[in-house]
Amino acid sequence: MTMPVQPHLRVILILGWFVPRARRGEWRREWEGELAYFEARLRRRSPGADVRWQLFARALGAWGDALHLNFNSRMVGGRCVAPLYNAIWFATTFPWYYWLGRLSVSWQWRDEIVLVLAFGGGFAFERWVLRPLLDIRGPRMRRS
Amino acid sequence: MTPVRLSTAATMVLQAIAHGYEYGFDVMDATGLPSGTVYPALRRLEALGLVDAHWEKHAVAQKELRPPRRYYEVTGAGKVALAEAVKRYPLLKRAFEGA
Repeated sequence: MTMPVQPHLRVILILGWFVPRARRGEWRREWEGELAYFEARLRRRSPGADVRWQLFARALGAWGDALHLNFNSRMVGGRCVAPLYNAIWFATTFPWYYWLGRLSVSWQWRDEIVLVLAFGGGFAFERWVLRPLLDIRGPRMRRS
Repeated sequence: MTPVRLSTAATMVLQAIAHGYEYGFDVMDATGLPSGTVYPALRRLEALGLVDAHWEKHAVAQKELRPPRRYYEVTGAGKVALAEAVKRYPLLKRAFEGA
């Protein structure tokens, strides 16, 4: 009988695909080792508690590491694209920290957040759902 | 050899390792930095030869019924770079005092 893979280990398994093949095995072993230690520490601190979500959240943190290694292994025009990593990392994480921080202080930022999410969601829906569905193409894609 | 200019986060990570926080998660707990900052910093420090990584002894991990962890230690070049960086960020010097 095979043991079911725990959700946090599944996250590491999936994120491992972003890591260059040469480092993938070692990368997975390092994160599995750290998560197992973290789990043991949580269980020691609060025996019998459900630690799945804490482990899952910690495992999601591997995303930044995997992305960093991925970008560092890529070269475009003979140049490493690592600086792009910083741009993407800040663009994807900073708004959430910023907004959640604002929300935790006061709900007066709620309108701003709802508006930005509505615009972002609306744009994404139009670009990736409506356009392909209705077969609407941009002017540059049209052939004369 | 050109001197390495470390960022604040990289200096904090290096300083934590120098103070005995040898594992990634321990460095996160000691510095309060998220994994998205600590691990890329560790990779950069390793690539620059400022820290060295080794695997924990299998017997130690086996005793606790878990896989071995990867630990980091500061190299000679790392100690020099840390001393230089701490001069530039004097407040960081006090961060681990009494730790």
